[in-house]
Amino acid sequence: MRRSGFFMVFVLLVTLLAAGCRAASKPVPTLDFTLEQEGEGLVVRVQVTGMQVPEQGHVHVYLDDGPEAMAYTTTYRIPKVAPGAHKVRVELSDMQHRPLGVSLTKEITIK
Amino acid sequence: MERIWTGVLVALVGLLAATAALAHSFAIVSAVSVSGSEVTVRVMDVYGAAVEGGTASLALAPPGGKPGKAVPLTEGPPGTYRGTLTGVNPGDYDAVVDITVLGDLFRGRLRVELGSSMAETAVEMVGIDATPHFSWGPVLYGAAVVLLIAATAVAMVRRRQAVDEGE
Repeated sequence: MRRSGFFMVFVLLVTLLAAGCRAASKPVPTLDFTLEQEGEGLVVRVQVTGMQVPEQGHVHVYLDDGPEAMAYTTTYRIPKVAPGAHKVRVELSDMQHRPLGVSLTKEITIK
Repeated sequence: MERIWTGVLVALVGLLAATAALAHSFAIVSAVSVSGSEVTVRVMDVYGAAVEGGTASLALAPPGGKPGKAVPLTEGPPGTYRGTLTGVNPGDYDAVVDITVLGDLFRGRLRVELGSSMAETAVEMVGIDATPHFSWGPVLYGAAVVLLIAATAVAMVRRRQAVDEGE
């Protein structure tokens, strides 16, 4: 009985190890972005190294911890943002929209 | 002891699959307007940002019926897709709007009246997984199910052997 339990755990560990090796073999991309007020709106300009956007992955944008939005290019325009302080989080994801663990948060005050 | 290991395994598999399933959850909306036979579809995300660079089409259907041949819509300003519906009699139709952006297909359906002007009407676009993506979730689920069935069968056989030996 105990042997089959150990076998199940062994299978799980091997699976996780294989997944980890697959992830480790890829270079980790880096991310930076600028925020700029444009009229009543906000422009997010993203620079990504180590990954081609949108061929190899996507950029997800969150305004004030709100719902997920996807930037289809490296420039993302929100046409109207309420005046005041805002927080923008940008996150890299793969083609299946799974987060790559690379994200950055910046703040801007819209006048 | 075996029950604990089995529980841990199933919980981990479920967690991995749920993480993969919940990873993708963004929404877009369309604002559809009609002027005569011209249809304009503005596509935007939850923050009002234009969904640009997509491939859009529109198909008409009798109210509640199946859509006919799709007419391609051409993107003008970013996120705005236009098309002309020719050879269609004026009247009420269901318009089925499809937009594909970077492999993600979204679809919305709304009632339109052709031959007259219809102000912009918002329609929620529902994401449809058009491109089958490989995911470890189902594989791990399958492995867990096979493992549990096999372990249960082995346990039942051994229990029966133990009972027989006891007798």
